Amino acid sequence: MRRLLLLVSGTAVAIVVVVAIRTHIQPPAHHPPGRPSPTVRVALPSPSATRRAYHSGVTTGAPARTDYGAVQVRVTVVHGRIVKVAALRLPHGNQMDVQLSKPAARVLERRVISAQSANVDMVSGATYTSGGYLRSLQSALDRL
Amino acid sequence: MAIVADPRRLPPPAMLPGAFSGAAAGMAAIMVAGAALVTGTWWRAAPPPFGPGATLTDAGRLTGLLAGYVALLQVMLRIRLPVVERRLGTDSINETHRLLGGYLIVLIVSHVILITAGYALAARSSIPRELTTLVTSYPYILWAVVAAYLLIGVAVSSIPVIRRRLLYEAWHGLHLLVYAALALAFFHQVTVGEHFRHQAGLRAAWTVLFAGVGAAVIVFRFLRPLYLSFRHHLVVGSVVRETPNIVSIRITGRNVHRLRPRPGQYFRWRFLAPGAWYLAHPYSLSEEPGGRSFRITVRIAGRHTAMLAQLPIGTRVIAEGPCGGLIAGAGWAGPVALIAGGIGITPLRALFASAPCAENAITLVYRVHDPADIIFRAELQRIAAQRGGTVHFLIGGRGDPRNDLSPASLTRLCPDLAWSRVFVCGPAGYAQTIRASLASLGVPSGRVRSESFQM
Repeated sequence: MRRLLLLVSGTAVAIVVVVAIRTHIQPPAHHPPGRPSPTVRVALPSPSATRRAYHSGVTTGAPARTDYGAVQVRVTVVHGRIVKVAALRLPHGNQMDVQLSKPAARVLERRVISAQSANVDMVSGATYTSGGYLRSLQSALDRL
Repeated sequence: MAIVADPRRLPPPAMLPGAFSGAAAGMAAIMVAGAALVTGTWWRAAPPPFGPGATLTDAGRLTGLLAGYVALLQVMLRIRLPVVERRLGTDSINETHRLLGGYLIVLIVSHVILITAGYALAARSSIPRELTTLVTSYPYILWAVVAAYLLIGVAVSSIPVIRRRLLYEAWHGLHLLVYAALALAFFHQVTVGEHFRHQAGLRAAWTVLFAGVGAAVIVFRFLRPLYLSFRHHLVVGSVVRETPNIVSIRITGRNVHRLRPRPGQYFRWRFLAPGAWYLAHPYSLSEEPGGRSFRITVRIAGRHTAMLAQLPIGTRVIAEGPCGGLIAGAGWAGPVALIAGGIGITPLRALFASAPCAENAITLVYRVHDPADIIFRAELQRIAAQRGGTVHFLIGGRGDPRNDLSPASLTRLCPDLAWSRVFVCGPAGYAQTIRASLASLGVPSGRVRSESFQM
């Protein structure tokens, strides 16, 4: 019994320590841990390509496939400025996907509007959703 | 007043060779290294914690992975892998299995609590509602819940107070459900587990690990015993009554030496006779193996053992093993002490004849409740004469002052105890008393091997 208590408390301390470290040193948003996704990097537009004004209008981007499901957005441009990005399709395979991708989409919309381009940081913890979101957005912007 | 050896005049026991503890430490190191590898995988592959409840979810994923790993260790400890049996020995395997069993339940319960709380925070929902969502909307979670209940049930049935009230067959049957539980739990790990869902390599590695352990179970617990028993054509050769309630059974077959048991080891024997075939029981070889047959010696203590006394000659036998770690490895040139309680004499009888030791330096202490219970008296005396060994018969119960097992009495019986390699076999209480006495005499636990049984 004493050995079990020792083992359990030792494990508890170890888990608290490693989880705390991981929470504090979140990896940079552009590099999903374990497997950097080449599709995301290729899809990101080069900075020079993003400095142009857009024609006004509402356009739906092409659906971008991710490991968690398709992502598709509709962008609204008024007077050459991006004013709204609506997420039409987000990963919804299970509750956790919905819970992660919805807030991530809101964060991305804010970033896109302030940067006025699809060249923004991904949301850490929702890198697949972010990659698909930005690719779909870019395809919409390319048509404007 | 007994003579107590002065510990200051002895060579420092810890520096003597032949310690068993290295093997146990090695096994522990392997287990910890595996846990570290699992933690490393989680560190690299789990999505980084993000949003409310993510820290709890992150910790929950780690406890879940560790639970899966510990469950596999538990199985590996139990499938009579020859190397594990030899190195750890039965008592040590049992202790580790009990310890990890409790640990596994703590990990599983923490996993459920942490994941539910983490998901509930992320969804801003309540814990009971989140539990329902988990079970109903995620694949295989219901299976995993069933698995968790099965494992908890098995653990509860193994708590000593409850176990004593259960029939061995019932307890053992319940334990077999563990295999079903692990199979059920596997599916939620690879379909919902964030590491495995999107990392095909990791998912494949984890699947191979589970499948490998499953295959090891089938090979070591079913196919190998069947194959060996039929290849060697193991049958009951003779049944001899040693005393009114102790019988020796000789098991014969073709080339039985190829099973290569070491003196002091045992097999789990299954006799294919009506009413006996569904149970396998561990009985030690009661003479040094090497001839054309094995001898086991059994104390009649219940319905099953009573049946063994009446086994027809020629009954087919299936043997699982060799098991157990009461092994006298080569290379020991010091004295050896063998301390037997009751029917625990059987493996020590084999070691008494064969354990390597210094000349004239093997001592056997053999305690029985009643003089009529002494078996192998003539054999033991013959071996003692051949090897220059000593046999002490102690007669009487545990409370009898003539044979208390205090450190002083043990030193009187085996004056070289402090620098001997010691083998103990007897009922659990007896073995524990002896181990406590040896510890207080300063015999390092690394030089003591003990195996005990419940009557």
